Amino acid sequence: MIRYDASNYHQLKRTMLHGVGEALPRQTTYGTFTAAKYGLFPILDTPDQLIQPDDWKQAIADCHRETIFPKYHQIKSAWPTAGWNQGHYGFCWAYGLAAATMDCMQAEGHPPIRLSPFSLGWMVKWRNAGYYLDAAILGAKQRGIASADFVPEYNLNPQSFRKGWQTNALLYRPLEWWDTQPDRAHSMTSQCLTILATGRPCYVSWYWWSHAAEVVALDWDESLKVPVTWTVRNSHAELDFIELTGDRAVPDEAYGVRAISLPFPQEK
Amino acid sequence: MNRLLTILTFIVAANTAVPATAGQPITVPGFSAAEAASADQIAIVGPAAIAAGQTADFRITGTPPVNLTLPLFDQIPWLNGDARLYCYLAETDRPLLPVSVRADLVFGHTGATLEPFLRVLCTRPGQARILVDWNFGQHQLAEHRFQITNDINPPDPPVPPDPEPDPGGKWQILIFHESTDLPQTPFQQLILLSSSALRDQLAQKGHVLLGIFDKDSFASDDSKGRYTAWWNAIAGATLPRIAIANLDGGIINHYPLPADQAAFWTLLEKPQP
Repeated sequence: MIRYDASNYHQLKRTMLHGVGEALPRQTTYGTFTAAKYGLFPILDTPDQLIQPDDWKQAIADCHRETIFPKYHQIKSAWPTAGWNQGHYGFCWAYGLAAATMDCMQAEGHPPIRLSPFSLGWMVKWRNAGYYLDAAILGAKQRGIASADFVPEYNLNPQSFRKGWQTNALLYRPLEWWDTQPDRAHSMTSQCLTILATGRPCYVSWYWWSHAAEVVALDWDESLKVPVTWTVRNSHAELDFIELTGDRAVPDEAYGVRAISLPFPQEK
Repeated sequence: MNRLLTILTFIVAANTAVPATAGQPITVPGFSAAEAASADQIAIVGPAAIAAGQTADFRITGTPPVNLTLPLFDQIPWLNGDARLYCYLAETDRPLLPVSVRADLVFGHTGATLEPFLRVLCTRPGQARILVDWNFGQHQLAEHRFQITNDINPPDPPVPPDPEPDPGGKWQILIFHESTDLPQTPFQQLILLSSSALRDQLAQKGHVLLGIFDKDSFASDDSKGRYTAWWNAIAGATLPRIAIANLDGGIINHYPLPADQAAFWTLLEKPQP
């Protein structure tokens, strides 16, 4: 696993970005009715349940020991082994969303399936463009994410998709998400760790990086100034997770997917 | 008492001298043929055999007609007056048992009549008789012989209780929960809900985890799909909940989610019905 110091974001930008603003700041406001309509529910509805900084180290250790972090479900399902690469498309927002959805399905015990981020291309009118994470969440909730069997990657021509791809997409819909508040009084790390400790992944973005991805675990490294490190399933053809360290590793937006539609239609 | 002794005497005489057949009326000796012909003969209609422990129904036919335009009470001295009938059940090795009579209004082709109805409980296997001491009109002692048999119909088989879960069995497992509550869920239960290693152990032991579903994943009946029976089984129960059924199919038993791994494995080893 390659470790990146997020403080050196110029290096990250050079290695992983292609000059496209891929992840746009959210449209909704935390805790509002509009956010709820998007399927976003505040994690701070139960602030007493947040894992507090004094407990981070122990909670992280416990979640690794008991293989609760979504990282372990992803490894077991092996869905990224065929590559997870957005290529030259500004679709990190779609790759992060599809990855989080697949790992939530793993947490719920569904059989592994590879979803196609390109089936979300309708949100950007089938263009190579960035998008909003919260709006993408709403779109996926409404129309779902088709499997890679129906929608090939690197293809933005829906006419060429396999017939029935839209129906197939409806089988895989992330329904409910925890929303986090970028508020110093309620550390983003606490909120994300609380989500990850349930076995559910976080769909995150960093404004400084204009990038979205999936966070699947946290780690603790005493040798670092900021001991919490972030384990990320990135979408630039990495063979393994990447690890972000430093203050800038803390995402600016984070959403925890907690419930997926059952991908089994009624058997007639 | 004298009347009963007379009847018993008659029974003995009938057994030895008159080879009666089941259901055949017997006319008391001493009545002339003219008297007997002046009225319908009383007859007893009922089964020829009945199993011990069962009830049997008998009817007395040949009763006088009634005129429904006149007061009924005055027309049935054979039922409520000095000339009323007496009915008995005679079973083997048992004292003669008086039998109460119910009168049903019957409309026949010759008019209306009240027809005595008897229901008796037969207890002693062997030969038995219904005796009717008819004291009105032609005076008659009628009997109906029938057999009480040991051939008791077997009672309806009891409804089998829900089969107890098979201790040490292999299970298909489904867990229902409310994902909103996950952050409040005790860590030991979170292990049951989310540990990848625990799922490996389940598979190694031969169990099949079907899923760990949020209750709202079932957005509609249609989306329940193959899990409809599971969802119906736990409907109304508190969450989180674990439901198990034998791998080969069968009853779905469900329980509150165990508090920790030890309780979880104990449940799968020795599930309670």
